[in-house]
Amino acid sequence: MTLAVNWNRAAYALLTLASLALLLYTIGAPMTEGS
Amino acid sequence: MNVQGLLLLIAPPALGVLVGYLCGGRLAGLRAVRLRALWLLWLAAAVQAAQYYVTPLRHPALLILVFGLVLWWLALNLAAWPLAIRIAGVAITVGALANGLAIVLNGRMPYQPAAAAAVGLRPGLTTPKNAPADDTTRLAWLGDTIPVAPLNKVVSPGDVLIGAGTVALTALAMRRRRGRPDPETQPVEGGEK
Repeated sequence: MTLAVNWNRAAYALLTLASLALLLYTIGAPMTEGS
Repeated sequence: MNVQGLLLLIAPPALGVLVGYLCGGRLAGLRAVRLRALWLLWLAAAVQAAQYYVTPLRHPALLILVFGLVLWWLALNLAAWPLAIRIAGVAITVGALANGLAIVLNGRMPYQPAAAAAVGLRPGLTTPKNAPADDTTRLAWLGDTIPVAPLNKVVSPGDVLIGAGTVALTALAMRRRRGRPDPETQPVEGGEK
């Protein structure tokens, strides 16, 4: 069985999700020890 | 950044993906949502990271730069997004403004000592980014007041808005079909074809 993956779609999806995580990193401000 | 911090960053997009699939969406739908000027986000993240690791860079002016870059990115993209996704983007923007306001008014993000103690953080802890709220704190309710016990973190109402907006944005984007026009732009005709 081979797994067919559309790498372009996967890459764009990953980029979008990573960008959203990056967004949280820049404007989120959770309190943490040593933050 | 520790594991809990990383979890807090990836949880909203991951939850958004889960909700998106449960609502019949597909990751391919993300392609229908254009993300412009991503370099603004990456630059903001680089400045944010530099502030954490390079002490002389921990200046309020750079924080304004970080928020300014992100708000600029949001402003560039909001107008191009479909209505529902735009609303999620507005929630994220309001959350960012709430966080930014609390930080600008107080020099650091204020946190509620009782909330910090509830998740096992040292009471009275002052860090480059956080300080305990007291009687002189302005808009303390916008600060880190919500304990998240499983992650030993305290978050703010702004963080909740940002997280919820991110979940919604991801799930809504997954339900998009590339090439399908927005419902509000379709001409109204009598009866269905």
